[in-house]
Amino acid sequence: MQRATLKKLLDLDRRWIFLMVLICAIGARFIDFDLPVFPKASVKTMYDKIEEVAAKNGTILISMDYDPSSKPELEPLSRALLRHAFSRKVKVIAMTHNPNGQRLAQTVLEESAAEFDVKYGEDYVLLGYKAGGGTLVINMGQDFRDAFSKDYAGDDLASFAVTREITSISKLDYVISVSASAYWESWMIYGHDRYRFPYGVGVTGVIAPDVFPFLQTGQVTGLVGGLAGAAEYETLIKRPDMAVVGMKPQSAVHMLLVLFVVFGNVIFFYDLILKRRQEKGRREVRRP
Amino acid sequence: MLFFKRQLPLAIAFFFGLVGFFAQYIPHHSFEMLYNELISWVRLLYAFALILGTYSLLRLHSKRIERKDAGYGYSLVLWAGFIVTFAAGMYNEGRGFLAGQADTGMLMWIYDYIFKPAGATMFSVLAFFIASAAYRTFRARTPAAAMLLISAIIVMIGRIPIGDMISEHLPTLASWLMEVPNAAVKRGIFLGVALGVVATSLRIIFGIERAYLGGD
Repeated sequence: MQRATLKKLLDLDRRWIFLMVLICAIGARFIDFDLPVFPKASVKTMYDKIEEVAAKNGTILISMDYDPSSKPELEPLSRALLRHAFSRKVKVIAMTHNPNGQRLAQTVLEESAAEFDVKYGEDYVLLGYKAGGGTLVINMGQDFRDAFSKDYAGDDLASFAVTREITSISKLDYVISVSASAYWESWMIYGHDRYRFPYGVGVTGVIAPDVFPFLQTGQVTGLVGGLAGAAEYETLIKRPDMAVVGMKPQSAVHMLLVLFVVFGNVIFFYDLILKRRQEKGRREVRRP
Repeated sequence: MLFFKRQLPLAIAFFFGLVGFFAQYIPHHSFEMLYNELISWVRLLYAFALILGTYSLLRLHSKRIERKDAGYGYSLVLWAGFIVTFAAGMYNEGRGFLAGQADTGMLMWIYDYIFKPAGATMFSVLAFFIASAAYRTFRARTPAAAMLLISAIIVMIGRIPIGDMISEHLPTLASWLMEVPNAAVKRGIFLGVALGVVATSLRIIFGIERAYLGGD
């Protein structure tokens, strides 16, 4: 193969690459094949923790700290967690630190609740959004009712069975932050480390590597990373849904990316070898 | 007016910095109350920061429109978007802005049919750019780059279900990479950042770092 041809391949118009990604993602979505999903230990830990809370008829808080840009990656986890909690009669308090996340939280909460025999106020409550980040978490630990006296619709929290007994986040049996930004850290630093509640994290695939050190220290009990983690959770609750479906296009595009990287490097090194050969040839011609 | 621009802010930072610091170490009821009060103040300031941020953004785009800078049409779209969304939020389906957010109406329509799809589109476009970048720039030019490349390939395949199908060792290897070398490096970074935060906080409390006061 000539160097000019290799150069053309290396400088391939990126629109071809975009087209291949598109074909791969759409094709994998519609081709019928099964992928085995094996839950990892950290995902199983979160599942077990909710089972533990269910055994004592406890209450969990799910903080859905994401906005529409990360909804496709994180909402399947929120839905799976809610389905698990509602099916096991675990009471749920939902909220968000993201000003653009309240509507998403409300929708997923209402849709999941409609699948089970649960009632607003008795089995679940949506606190909504409030500004403050880490300071809001501290405030919720000091005096829960001071931080949130009303729910998202303006109704008094004292009138709801779910929140009536909650005076601090330390009273909660499990707190989970489903986060697309640094809010998971706020929950850990200002929440778990001060008020000592069991704390689990569900984050985008990009953030997951940041959480591993805290999983090892025990500050985080349960980690679900990205859509793959959500698929594992869906498998655990035996309700395969969008995350499991999403594994096919995700796997296909990941494999395509690997092929791109390998192919790009093979061409790069082959071009390098040809270049060196050419230079060697030129040097030999110049010699008398 | 140097007093209001320099000395007073420095004195406030010094006082509240020290109060916040000692409140962590003095287990006395009065300190606890003071600390709780300060936390409420911080939340108020946080809410004001949202207003300030909105003001700065709108001011910036007003100037662009005034000067008719390149692409000032986008600034007009931003202003129009702000006015319509703000009005819809304030109107709140006739309930007013003090009542809880209405579940239906114009604001929710904007959110469901403009904001949500636009946000999801922005994020999904990333996949295409990552693919292009992976093909064009991810090269094993040095031994370190080669290690990074091999690790990335293992993690990319090992973290998805297809990794299990290829080899049962791939997910194990991917987990090891995440839990051992990755966690070790992250710990180092986190410790460095934490020490940096402590140093910067001390510099602010004692008035050595004054960049937050602005340029005047």
